[in-house]
Amino acid sequence: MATSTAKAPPRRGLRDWLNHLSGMDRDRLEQAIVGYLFVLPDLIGLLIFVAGPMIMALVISLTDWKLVGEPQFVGLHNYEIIFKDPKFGASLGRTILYTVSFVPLVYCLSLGMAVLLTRRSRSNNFFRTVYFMPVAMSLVVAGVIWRFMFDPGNGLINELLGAVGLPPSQWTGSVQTAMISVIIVSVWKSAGYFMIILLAGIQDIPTDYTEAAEIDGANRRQIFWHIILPLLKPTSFFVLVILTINALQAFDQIYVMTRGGPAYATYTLLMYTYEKAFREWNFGYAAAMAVALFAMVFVLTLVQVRYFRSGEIRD
Amino acid sequence: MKKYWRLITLALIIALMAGALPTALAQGPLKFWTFEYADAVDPFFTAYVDEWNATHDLQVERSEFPWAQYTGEILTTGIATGEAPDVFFISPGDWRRYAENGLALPLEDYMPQYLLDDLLPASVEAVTLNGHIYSVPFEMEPVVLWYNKSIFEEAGLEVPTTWDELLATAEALTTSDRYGILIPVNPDYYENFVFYPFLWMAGGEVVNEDFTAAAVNTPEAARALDLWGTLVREGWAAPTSTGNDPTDERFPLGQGAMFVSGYWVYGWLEASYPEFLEDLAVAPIPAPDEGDELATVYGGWTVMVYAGTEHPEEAAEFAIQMFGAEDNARAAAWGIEYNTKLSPRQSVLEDNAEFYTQFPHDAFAHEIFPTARAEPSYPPEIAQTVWEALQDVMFNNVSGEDAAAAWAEKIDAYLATR
Repeated sequence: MATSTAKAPPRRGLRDWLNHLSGMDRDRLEQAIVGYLFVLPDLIGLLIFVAGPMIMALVISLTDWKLVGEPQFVGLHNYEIIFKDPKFGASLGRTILYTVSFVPLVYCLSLGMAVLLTRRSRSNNFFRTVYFMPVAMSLVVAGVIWRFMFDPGNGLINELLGAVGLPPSQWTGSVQTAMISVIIVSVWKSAGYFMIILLAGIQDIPTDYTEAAEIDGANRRQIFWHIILPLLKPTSFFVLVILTINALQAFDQIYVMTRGGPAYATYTLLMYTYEKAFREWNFGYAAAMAVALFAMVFVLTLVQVRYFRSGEIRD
Repeated sequence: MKKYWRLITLALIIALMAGALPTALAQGPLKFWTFEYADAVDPFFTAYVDEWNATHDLQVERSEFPWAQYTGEILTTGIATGEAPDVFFISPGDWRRYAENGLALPLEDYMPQYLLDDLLPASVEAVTLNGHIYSVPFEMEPVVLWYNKSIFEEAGLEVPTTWDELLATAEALTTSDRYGILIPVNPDYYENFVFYPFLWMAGGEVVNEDFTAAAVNTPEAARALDLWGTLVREGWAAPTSTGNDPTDERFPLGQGAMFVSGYWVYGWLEASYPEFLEDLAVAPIPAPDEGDELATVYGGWTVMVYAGTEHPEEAAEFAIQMFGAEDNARAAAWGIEYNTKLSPRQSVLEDNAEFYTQFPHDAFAHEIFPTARAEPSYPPEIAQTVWEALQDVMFNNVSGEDAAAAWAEKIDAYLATR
């Protein structure tokens, strides 16, 4: 694994890069240009639809903009309010609670499903479809179905709990259990997707390693912990980063199920941002919250990159 | 040198195209936006737009958007990016913001006199601010207490007429697989809308008449809050919603005995649960005590014209003629044929007297509507305080009194910033 970092090209500045281009012979230059032309459509899309709005958000966050009239430049004022705003703190807290439960749960569940599906078996296709089905289902439909299942009076889940002798719960109807309910649904909805990615990762691992381990007498558990899991690190890294980003941006699933209620029990940071922007038309403040969220995602991703890099060297 | 000329020509062409584009867009069709209606309602719009396009040079193009987007970000985004529609449907919840911020074209100069005479004064008042009429009202949907006759007969109970009776009936009809009553519990505009009649009947108001101070720190407001709080905390009202709030499948499925909702429920049940209509009955929302005056709220969208439209004249004509043509057939069809809604035009009620003798339209037209008030349009900062107070009494064990006090504080804090 360490080899992959060693192979990485040395970092270059813009001038080096230009020198590099001008030093090329005609053929190679042409090749390079063709290559860049190929990535150009994506690059343009990325600049216009991702980088552009991000910069705009940053600019808007420095203004007081109420949709009507021109934005007024207010410097860092919006950021100052963020830290005094109890609603921001509370919704951030709930978002973090959601993230620390959602990410490990989805990762473990999808990894478990992926491992089960790597065994050669005829039923694989069937289970793969079943596990993936929630991903393909429309968010709104899923939200409605789960609301029915969570219904405290007639819901399927309470019926099942009753059948095995457990007491019923209020689920989304109570401040204490609403968050758990939306986490259950979010996990159910996303696990299938990440299973597919992890499955691809596992299938990419050359069978030589596992076969060699088997010959050496390793059992299934040992192969999983000492061969598959370490070799799956790049995939796991990708999955965990995407999961964390998804969790911090949790919105639609919860919005469909509870509208952030009851009594704000499932009100996340993005919901608050949305409300400030599209209901109160306080775009400057909303943009500042979006930038703050971006900063958090960015820092967390950096930490994750660090962690996984350090792991690579140890291996 | 040749090369440079080519480049300059190219740059000029691009610049010309970029310059010409906005003008081309501005001359484009009149844009008319609504949310997505059921397929059965579509012919109404198609017919009107086709009729308009056949007789006018300036063509109209209708776009519809999913409900969540339409009530969420779509109009806001349209305005922010200079792509706002010329004519659009607006909810009472959003109305004030558009009117106050100069986004709505005042329509009083375009409104024909026959229409002003025909429209109910209260419905015109609901779309008037500082002497300007900012939209055209075209539908009214009052809120009532729907109930399941069979369940009541089985239990030998009468429909409640006071709040004490309401609580007792809700309790008596709650079983392990049925709620006594269904009320909206999600923190949203719709929850506020259904709650207003309770607040008004108790004698409460959200803000004072001058819109300068909160009016909710009163025993009346506390009493209304406590009623909803008790229903949910005791488990007599469902603590969750299913489906979309304005409808609730649990009612036709027999999992809720009473259902506080609007006129639209009838159209929905007719289409989705026709067999349930035999069990359906309707009553006014109970007043707090015997002899208290009844009150309810009516909702309904209105048509607004964007103040920044390039064609104010045509846009206003298109908006007004949709439901305000001298011949009221289209206005009547909207409420009778395509939906179950009352028309704010008095002539529609008079010309279709026969229809309004049938269940449940008779009750809505003659019994319920006379007690109805238009949904108030509060800024989002105030609307939010309403559902926060409700959420507190229903889910945080806060007493009506404490919730009302906190509620008033939040409203006053906001009003101080206006």
